[in-house]
Amino acid sequence: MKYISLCFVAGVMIAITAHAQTTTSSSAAGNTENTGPLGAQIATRGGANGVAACASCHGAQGEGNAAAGFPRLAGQSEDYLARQMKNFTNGSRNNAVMSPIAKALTLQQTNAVSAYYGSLSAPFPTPSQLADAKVLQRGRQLATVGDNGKRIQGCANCHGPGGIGKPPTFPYLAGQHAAYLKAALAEWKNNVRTTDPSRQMNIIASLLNNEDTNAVTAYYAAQAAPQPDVQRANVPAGSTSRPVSPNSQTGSKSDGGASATQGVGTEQGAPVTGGNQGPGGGGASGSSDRSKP
Amino acid sequence: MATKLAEADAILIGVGLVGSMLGRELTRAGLKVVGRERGEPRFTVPDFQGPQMHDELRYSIRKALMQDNTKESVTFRNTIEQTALPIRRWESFLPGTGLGGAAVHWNGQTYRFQDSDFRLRTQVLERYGENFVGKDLTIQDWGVTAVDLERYYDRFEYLLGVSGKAGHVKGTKNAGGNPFEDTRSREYPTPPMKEPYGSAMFRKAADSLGYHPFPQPSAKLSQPYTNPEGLTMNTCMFCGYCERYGCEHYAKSSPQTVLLPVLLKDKNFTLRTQCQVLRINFDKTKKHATGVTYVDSAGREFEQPGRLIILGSFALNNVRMLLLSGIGLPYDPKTGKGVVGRNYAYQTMSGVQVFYDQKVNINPFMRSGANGTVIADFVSDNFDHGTHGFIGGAYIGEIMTNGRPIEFHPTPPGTPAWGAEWKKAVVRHYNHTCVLSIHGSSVANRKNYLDLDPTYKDAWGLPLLRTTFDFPENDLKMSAYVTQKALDIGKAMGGQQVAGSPRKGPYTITQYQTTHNTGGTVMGNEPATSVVNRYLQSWDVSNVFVIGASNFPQNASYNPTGTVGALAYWAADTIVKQYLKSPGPLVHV
Repeated sequence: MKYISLCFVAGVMIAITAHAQTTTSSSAAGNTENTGPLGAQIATRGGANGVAACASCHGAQGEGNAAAGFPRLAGQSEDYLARQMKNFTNGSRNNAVMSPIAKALTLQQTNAVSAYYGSLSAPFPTPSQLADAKVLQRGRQLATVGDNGKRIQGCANCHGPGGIGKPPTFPYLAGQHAAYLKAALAEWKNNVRTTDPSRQMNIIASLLNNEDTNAVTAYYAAQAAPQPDVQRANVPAGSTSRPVSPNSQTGSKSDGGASATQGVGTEQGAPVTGGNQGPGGGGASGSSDRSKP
Repeated sequence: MATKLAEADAILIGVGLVGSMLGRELTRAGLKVVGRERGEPRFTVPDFQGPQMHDELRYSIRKALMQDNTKESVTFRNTIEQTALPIRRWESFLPGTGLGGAAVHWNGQTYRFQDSDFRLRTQVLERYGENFVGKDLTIQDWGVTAVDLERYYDRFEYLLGVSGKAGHVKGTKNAGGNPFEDTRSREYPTPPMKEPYGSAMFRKAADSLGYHPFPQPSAKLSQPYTNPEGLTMNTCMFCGYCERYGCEHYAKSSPQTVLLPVLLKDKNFTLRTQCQVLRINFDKTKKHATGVTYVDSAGREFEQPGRLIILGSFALNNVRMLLLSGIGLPYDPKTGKGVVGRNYAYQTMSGVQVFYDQKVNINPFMRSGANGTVIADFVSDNFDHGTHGFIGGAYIGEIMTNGRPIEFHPTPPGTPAWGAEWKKAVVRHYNHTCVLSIHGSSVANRKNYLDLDPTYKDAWGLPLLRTTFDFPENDLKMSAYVTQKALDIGKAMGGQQVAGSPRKGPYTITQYQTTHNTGGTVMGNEPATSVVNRYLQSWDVSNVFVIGASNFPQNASYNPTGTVGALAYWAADTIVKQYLKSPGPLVHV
């Protein structure tokens, strides 16, 4: 999908800061050089086709607007953002403001502006007023483990530990404004949003009562928003590079320390490869014949 | 000194799939039921939640959900001449433990056995003659037919919400389903799972060779579903952490998702976990069970009296409980006499790997435990065995379940098993390899059986179960034949390289194959060759019912759980409608 280059200098990893100009997008391949400026242009000045500047609602740095319930976009998965624009276009998601804007944008513009916001890093101001501790506790419970009595699974299963998202499919929730999250849950609950083919979100939202919704949205709004996805680097398959986490940029960790490798694939010499380990499995037999070095 | 508790109407030994089903049926009939489960209580929330549930080292490698073999293991040997040793680390098969049993960590592949499986001996004799079956084989009919079990299969599938495509409804064959299945009363409760890319290539190849591909029936649901108990299941997310794991999404049918929330609220039901049942007790006549003795987690011994005993633990443990309690005559392989432990069978598994070039992206991690496409053309007696010299068969399918990082490293033959070249090959092939499974039947013979180990004991001082097993020649021939068909399909799938070999003996317990251990308390119409009658009632002690894959006289080609579920409902129905009205033997011989 999307890769950034990593350079290794004397054991200190320096990730090239994900910048709009260096970000490539599979869908916008070939327009790489124009993507950044075009995305930034639409975000800050709007499009020639009568589209208002995104920043007028979503903030100069994509930080959103807590009071108005405009979502934070900075650092949200580029793929997720582009998909939502398509959803606004095809009517599986509806919003009086966003739907016309999404329809007016060309595919190229949509991809460019999605890439732009995916790469942005906006400050996360601590919410001025934190919800009651009991409310936050309930929110934390729903976010991290769920509620068995109501058959609600923890949000973290899909939205990642701490709500940092699982790009490209699942958006981050940490640091997202409570008013926006509440509106989104209402859309899921009322089935006006049909962008989840599994309908998991529609069902979960319908199982949450008002207290639950307040709690879980207040909880996520109080968590620090994650770094842009592009800074949580992936490395291409087969590359000798190693992933670097945003945190490791601050310290001078050794190469080995930052990249503990995976365990080996055998147990007591028996291959456990093959892909079908469970009932109905047995794929390991092919690999049992392989020669020993 | 054991503390004696108040008498219950019924006692469940094990609260897994069978225990939960019988608990529900018997409490519904008004009985006061107590469930005794040796493992821990556990629920979707909080026990199966992410991210900890996706800990491959903990669950797949260290097998966190399996029976604790530091307390209770199984000993193993290939032949009667050898000395069996305890299995210190589960590999070949993985007995589960805990509330919900193995139905928590199962894959959800939910098939029906065919009528030709239930009347195997008759079928083989009728079609191929007396001399076709080897002398050592002790295959036999079950005492039930597909017609007997149809509505119980149906009920079980609707309890789970199984996702599939019926091939044969009310006598009419439907394209896209399994054309070999016996007629069923209605379509599956939910439509089939989405077909992964590799499975689609398998379907096209199988189709081009004239076979009949169909989507694997899955208890990981394709869409939201509310079962007859009023419990709503969610859609499977294809997370790739299914077998050996609990499901965090309420998408896998297990007692926790389809039954227990209702059963645990029933005032007639009492659950006690971490209770190790030591034995079933009798009155002086030895014909009537009076209850069970168990030890709780604090080491206190209790006597739980009960009028009806449901033994519904894992197949191997069902056999061991009867042997420990002295119910039924233990099998003796030298004389062929005795029944408990007789006809232990397994499943004959093999695999084929199809290696593609790097343009074909398989995305093996994006899988579910029971998705994929299979063919039943070589199952059971669906093909002519006349010239082959074996009975039974196997289904073939592209039913990959995962691409998990520790376990999934497909490399072509000739690749070193470690080092830089191996790593390069893993990177090269990880996302470009399909694996086909050949899931084969297992015949019973005189040599494979279960008994109590003369040497090794469990944490409570009781003898371990001893397994004596090797693959019968019949099954190795079957595997060679069907694996070749799978290799042919693999070639038709357009891979650059196709690798695989049939199952070969001797059977080893150090390589995972399957947890489909069957037999040992087999059902039938003759007390001389079965432990329980066709209603799963002990011939010897009529208030003990034994339910599970231990009832299978031999194992069929398909996965067993659908049949275990159907048998459990069949037995429950008989208990409620016949036994409770007039307790005593249901079959007189």
